[in-house]
Amino acid sequence: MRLLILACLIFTVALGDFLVRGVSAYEQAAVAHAELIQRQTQMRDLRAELEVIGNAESDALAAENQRLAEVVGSWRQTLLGGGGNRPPPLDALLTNSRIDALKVGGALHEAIRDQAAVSTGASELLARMVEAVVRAGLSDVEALDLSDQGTEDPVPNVAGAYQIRAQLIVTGDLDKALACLESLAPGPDRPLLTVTQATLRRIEPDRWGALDGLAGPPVRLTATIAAIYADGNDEVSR
Amino acid sequence: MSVFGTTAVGIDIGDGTLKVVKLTRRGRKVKLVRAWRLPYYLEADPADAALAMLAGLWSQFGDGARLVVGAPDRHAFTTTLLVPTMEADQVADLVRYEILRSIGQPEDEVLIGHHVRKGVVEQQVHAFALQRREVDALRADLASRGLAFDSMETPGFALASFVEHERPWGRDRVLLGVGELATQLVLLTEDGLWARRLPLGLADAENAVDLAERLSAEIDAAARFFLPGDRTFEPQDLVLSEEGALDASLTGALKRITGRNVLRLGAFERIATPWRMDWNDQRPEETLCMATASGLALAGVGLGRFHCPALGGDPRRESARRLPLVAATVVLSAAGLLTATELAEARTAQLESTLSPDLSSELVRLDESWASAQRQRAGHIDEGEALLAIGRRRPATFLVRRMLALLAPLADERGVSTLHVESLWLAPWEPQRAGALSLTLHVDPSMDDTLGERLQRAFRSQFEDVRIRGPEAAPVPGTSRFVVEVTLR
Repeated sequence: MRLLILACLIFTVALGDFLVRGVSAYEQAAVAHAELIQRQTQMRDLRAELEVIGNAESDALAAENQRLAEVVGSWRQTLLGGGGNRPPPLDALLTNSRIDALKVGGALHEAIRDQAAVSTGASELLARMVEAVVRAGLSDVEALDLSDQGTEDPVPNVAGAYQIRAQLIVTGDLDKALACLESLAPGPDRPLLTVTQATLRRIEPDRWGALDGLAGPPVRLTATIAAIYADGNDEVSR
Repeated sequence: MSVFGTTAVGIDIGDGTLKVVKLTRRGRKVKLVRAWRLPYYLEADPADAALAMLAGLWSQFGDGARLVVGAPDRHAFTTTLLVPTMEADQVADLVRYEILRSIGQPEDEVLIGHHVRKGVVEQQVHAFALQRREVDALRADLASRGLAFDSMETPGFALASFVEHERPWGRDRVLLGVGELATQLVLLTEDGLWARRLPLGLADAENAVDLAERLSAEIDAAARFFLPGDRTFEPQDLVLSEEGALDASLTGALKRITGRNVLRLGAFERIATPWRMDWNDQRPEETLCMATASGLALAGVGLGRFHCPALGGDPRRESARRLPLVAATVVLSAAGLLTATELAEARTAQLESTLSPDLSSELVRLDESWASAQRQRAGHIDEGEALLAIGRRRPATFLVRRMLALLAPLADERGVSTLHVESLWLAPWEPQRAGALSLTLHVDPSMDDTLGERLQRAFRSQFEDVRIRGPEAAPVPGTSRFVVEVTLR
């Protein structure tokens, strides 16, 4: 009889445990089952929506990104990294220039100085352009202007880089014009100058008959220049 | 019968020695567990001594064992009836009628029972009548000592059951269970069973020969009394059991006087025995001679061929015997409930962890990460192309001079006034856009036929994508115009 009482006691405990935990566990299981069905549907939809990506593809993409980052970084460092010579002061260049339009009192002198006051970048760009004209030995400058009042525009697709555009119109011998143009090509000095567009047009058609090959008649060089700066490496103060 | 086996204890009280046999049965296998043999015939009050001895042993029988007590059969009557096949109720009525007619006693003074052996046409009915007052007295004595039992069986039937179990397929037989104070005489034929308790035992005879002669006379008298006159009774052997089987002189005397083969059981044939049977210095042959007690135990385990309870016992014992099974069932149910609870919780946890919400968000996160990596790749490529375009503006700028240099030999051949560069237009590389270089030439019309081809030859050697247009009419009179367009790849 004691055995039966003990068994009944155990059963009572088990029954109580079942009523307290078991019934609620079964209810939870039913809820969990319904939620699982819902999750299964969601997962099926999600799977249809999402691209199936394997670990190998993911790793390959990460490795490719790494390589691209290294390559792009090295290019960026080469083109936009620090270092290189800064241009001489614009005022000194203008003052020492033998070009009438640029000299003090020249047609363009004040206009250039006014534009240079916009920003350090604008000033450096103008200085480089003046330096190129002077070095090429050209004597006639028709225009040396910042585009859009020296507004700094971001360089498309190059994070942290921006550019200031300018236009240069000079006339002179073809060889000098070409030398001027080539000195505006990207080089080691700062800021980085690039020619985004250039036009050479021969002028004074009445002198064609006296041409000596290609070098003869004077030409007008119209070039659009962009000076490119990068955050951290170049400082443009307004 | 439980799956764990059935245990039964046969208790034979009445012949001067308390004999108890405990058997256990599992399937068809029966095993002797223990046997007790306690003589009481020399005690001052033998009947009281027997009950006292039995009470002393009771606790050793075990709660789960079925206790089968030999019924008091001092004035018992037994017979065998051959009746046609009929309903059980009709058989019972017939038996009652025949018994009462034979013994001439009122029905309320006797306890009538019967055992039916069914045949195809007719059935044997082994019937007995016990004196109710003797049975009630034993039951009262046992109850007064707190000895509850399960059933009461007729000792003669038990003896016959044991002999049939151990030595089956005998034909006519005489069974003699010779005790100290009484003898159980059973006549066993193929179609009948008759039992009689003789108030004659080892203690009553002067010697074995005397006892054998008296027993032989009793056998003959019983055969004449019980068997029909036309029935020939030729027993093959005489099976001797109880204390008489331990007396070699009685065995010899019986053999000599009856002229029949006297068989004593020297071993159990179908009951497994333990390798030691010397409980309380008891000899194995003393255990083997306890045929009636063994038969009672066989009835308890359900193997008594002539099993026929004269009286049911305490129903609480049957209930108590079921207690372990009930308790086990209850415990199993409890275990089932606990298991069901644990399974439900485990199932819940499994369901909740399957396709967890974190997994879908992880998938979305991975997809976003993949898209981000692809955007990053595209950004790297775009930035690379932008930087490359910026870098390539340097060679593009120098291409102007190179292009003009290609024209110099052509101009030198024809003199100074035949070929002029009118204009040159340069648009260096931009991201997603090839560079372009365009050259407009004014030439002497005499060069119209050949200049185009020569320009092609000169420029194609340096540039992959060159288009030459001309000659066209130039705005300057007396000249033709050629346009060279180079795409910078």
